[in-house]
Amino acid sequence: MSAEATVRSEHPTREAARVFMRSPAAVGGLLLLAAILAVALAGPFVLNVDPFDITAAPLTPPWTGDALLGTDQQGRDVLIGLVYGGRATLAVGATAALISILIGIAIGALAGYFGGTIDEMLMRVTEFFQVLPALLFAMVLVTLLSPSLPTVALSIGAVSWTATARLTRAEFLKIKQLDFVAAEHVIGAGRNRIIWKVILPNALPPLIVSATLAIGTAILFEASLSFLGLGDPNRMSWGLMIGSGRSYMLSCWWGVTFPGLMIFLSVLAISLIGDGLNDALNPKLRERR
Amino acid sequence: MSQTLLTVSDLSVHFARRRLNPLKPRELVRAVDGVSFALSRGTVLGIVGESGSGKTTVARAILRLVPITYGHVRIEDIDIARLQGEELRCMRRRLQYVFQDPYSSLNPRVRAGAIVRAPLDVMDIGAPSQREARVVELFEAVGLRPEQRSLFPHQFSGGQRQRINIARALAPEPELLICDEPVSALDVAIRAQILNLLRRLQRERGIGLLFISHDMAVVRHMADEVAVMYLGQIVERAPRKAFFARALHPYSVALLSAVPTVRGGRRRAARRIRLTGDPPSPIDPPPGCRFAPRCPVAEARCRARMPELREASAGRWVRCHLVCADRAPLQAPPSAAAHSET
Amino acid sequence: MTTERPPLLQIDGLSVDFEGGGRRARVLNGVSLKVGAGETLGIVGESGCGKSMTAVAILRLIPSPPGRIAAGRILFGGEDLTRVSDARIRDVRGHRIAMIFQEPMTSLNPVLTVGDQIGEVLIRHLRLGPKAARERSLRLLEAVGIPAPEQRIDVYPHQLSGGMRQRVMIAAAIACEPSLLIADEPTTALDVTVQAQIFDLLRELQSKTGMGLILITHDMGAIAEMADRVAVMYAGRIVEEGATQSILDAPQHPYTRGLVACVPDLDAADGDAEAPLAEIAGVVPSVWELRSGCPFADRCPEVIDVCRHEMPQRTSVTPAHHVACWCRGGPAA
Repeated sequence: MSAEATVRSEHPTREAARVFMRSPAAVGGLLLLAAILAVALAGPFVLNVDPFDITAAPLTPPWTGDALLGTDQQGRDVLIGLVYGGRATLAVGATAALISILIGIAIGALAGYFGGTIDEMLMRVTEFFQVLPALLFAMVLVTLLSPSLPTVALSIGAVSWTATARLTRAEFLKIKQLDFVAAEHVIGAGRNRIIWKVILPNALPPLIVSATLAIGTAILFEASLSFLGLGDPNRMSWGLMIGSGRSYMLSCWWGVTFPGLMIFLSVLAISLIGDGLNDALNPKLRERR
Repeated sequence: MSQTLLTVSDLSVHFARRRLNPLKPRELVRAVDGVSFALSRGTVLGIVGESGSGKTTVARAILRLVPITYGHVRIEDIDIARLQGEELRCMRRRLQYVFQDPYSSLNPRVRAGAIVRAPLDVMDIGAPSQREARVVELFEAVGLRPEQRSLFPHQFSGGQRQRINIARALAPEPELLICDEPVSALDVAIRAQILNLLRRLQRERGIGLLFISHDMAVVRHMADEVAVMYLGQIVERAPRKAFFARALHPYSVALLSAVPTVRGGRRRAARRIRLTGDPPSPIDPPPGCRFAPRCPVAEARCRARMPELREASAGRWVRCHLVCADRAPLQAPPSAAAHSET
Repeated sequence: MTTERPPLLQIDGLSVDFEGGGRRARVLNGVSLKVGAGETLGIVGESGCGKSMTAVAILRLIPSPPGRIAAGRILFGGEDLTRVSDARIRDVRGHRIAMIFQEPMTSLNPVLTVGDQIGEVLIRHLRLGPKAARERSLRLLEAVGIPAPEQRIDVYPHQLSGGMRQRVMIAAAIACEPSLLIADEPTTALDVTVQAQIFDLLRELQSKTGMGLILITHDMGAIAEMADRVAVMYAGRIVEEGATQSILDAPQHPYTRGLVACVPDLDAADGDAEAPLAEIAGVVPSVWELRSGCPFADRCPEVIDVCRHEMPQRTSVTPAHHVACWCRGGPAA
């Protein structure tokens, strides 16, 4: 035999990480998200106050008083609100995305693998959820379940899994025809092994990208619900800040602009990461390097 | 030695095509239509045919990768066409498959060692502590270095990937190995390596080998017995020597004469039997002999009635009205081998 | 076979470089070839040896960047194709030099009918009107042996079988009566009985029009059947070149001998069918990893010290048979 192929045995995941790290935009997104996360996670420990406390006169503009970014209509410090609100917003975003991805993968995988009647039924369900106006449906769910962080996350997750399900199904349909799946049948592998250990890992790359972008969507969703007054009123979140400040928008621009900016930056960071992952995990793009 | 390992009788695989026009009856694709053959322990049966002949479907049906419409597939006395669930899983140990495409047949996210080990784990063969040693042994048997176990499939060349495929298939010590065009995706210079390896392993281990190929010369090199398929049916079955000395079915004769050879060159091309047209589709095949529309010697009865596969002389089975005893209706062109003038 | 007339196509010392990731690879290295009118030149070798690259270079279709013709001349009809303008080379392509590919499905446009594909070439190069183009397309389809061309002219490629699609490709290729046809593995995706038909067709067209043919293949049997002369390529170089008979009867380069011996032959004596096939160990080296010396040295059964350090020069076995190997060459070998 030849002496070649003693080359590095790099795991596909590590190779993808290397490609990812070569993209300045993706690394920028990662750093930005890391900074936002660090502030949101560590900030409350450092400040140790109640974000709903009144700290100064209402409607103090930024850079004038003690509150660096000013205070809102009720005299609450905007900066403290941003620090505390990040936690709730990001937690809801991540949980909702996780819920939506899990539902999506389960339904897509079963539909794609089994095909036939099971596929028909699951896809009809998916279509039903797709044609519902998602925000309206989430609002109904939140109202029924009474608004709190877990119910908000659950509601967002329950209405946003359809795209993941379709993507998973498409990947399963493609991969299940490949010979290495037939090879698993030949060696007597059972259904569970084939679905979860053989096909799913190969279907993951596009799903990871879609999951990343789902976090961004979920954050926007949370903000919309809070804006409409359907968030958890007892937990500070960016959406809540915008929602409660919206009627004072003209007299108190800082009350809505800064939380809006944070949402924008978070979603931007996540999109950049998602884009970078797409380049790194998509083998066709990778060949071009 | 001549103990029968695999018996396939009247195997048929039909697919219903999706209707485009709901008023028309469903079209039936007769991919495999009444195929029968037997394979003895430790011998090689070569199935040769062109695209659409159903040779790959035969292999996949034996492995239960496609549903069998009717017919029997027996390993010794067990009819695997009827097995389900756990019984079928246990049976899989005895027959394994080497795929045509060395690229798509290995999971890209799994290391080579784990790919070869998978059958042992899945079928729970041997003590878990000894499995790694078994994988090392298999790597050496197929000409790979044991330290290559930690590499991923994309780090191997096509030939090496096919070796991994062979190692995986040999792992459960099958009695029957089915190879579907194992070298046609490989570079010419690599093919000889894989063919020699397969032949050596087959002889050393006494495995029955069902070798499927479109290449007459490769089948001649590998097989003890040859079966020629055309449009889902076996048209001729014979021991290798007899078949290549004188093929009987007109299709076999034409197929043999179509192969360009290094020694034959232009003289062979000039004397070639020319078949017109492409093989018709296995959807609604012609009523009589399926080869009749392209056959240079076809008669009226060929188009009217399908000939049976019958034993023309000892050990030689032919599906043709016109073969009588062992006289071929279509004469092969004189051999253009080296002994003629150069 | 080739007379004193100037050849139809002459390639002198053609080298092609690819650059990427700060590295440079020489994918073609000093390739010299010629093809006469009415002659068939076969190019054989494993994949990655530069066969297709040579064909693509002739038509200047190398993707650039990363590829670039680094040296050499391609003389065709009194012009050096490496230097002519882009407009000129577009006129040569498809008109005077045509090419057919291995996979007729992907090289035909799936949304155009057969008639449109052929007509496009005629309208573009010969400035025919739509009506005349259709008329001519019909005659071309007939010429390449497509039954009932009046019906087939309006179908789409996916409605045809592989053999029929390859015939359509050939019809489009010969539409402007090119003086040179390059066929890159034209029958690899086809069945042998259909391959025989395509070879017959190519020979017939060649004898009618006197066009030159470059047949790129990995199949020595196809070479024996089709080619007048053969060039054996390895790692971007021509390692042996000469008349087909001479090369098949007495291959000089160990690589050529390996290629001839490693394929089972239907004409071999029956006893030989039992013996193991000759093997060429190892695989083709990547063009990015080529070192000095003969690129075949690592796989060569007859390698000697000098092979690893210095590239052998091309030497003549006979006036029409050349080989680049340290252990061969000179009439004594």
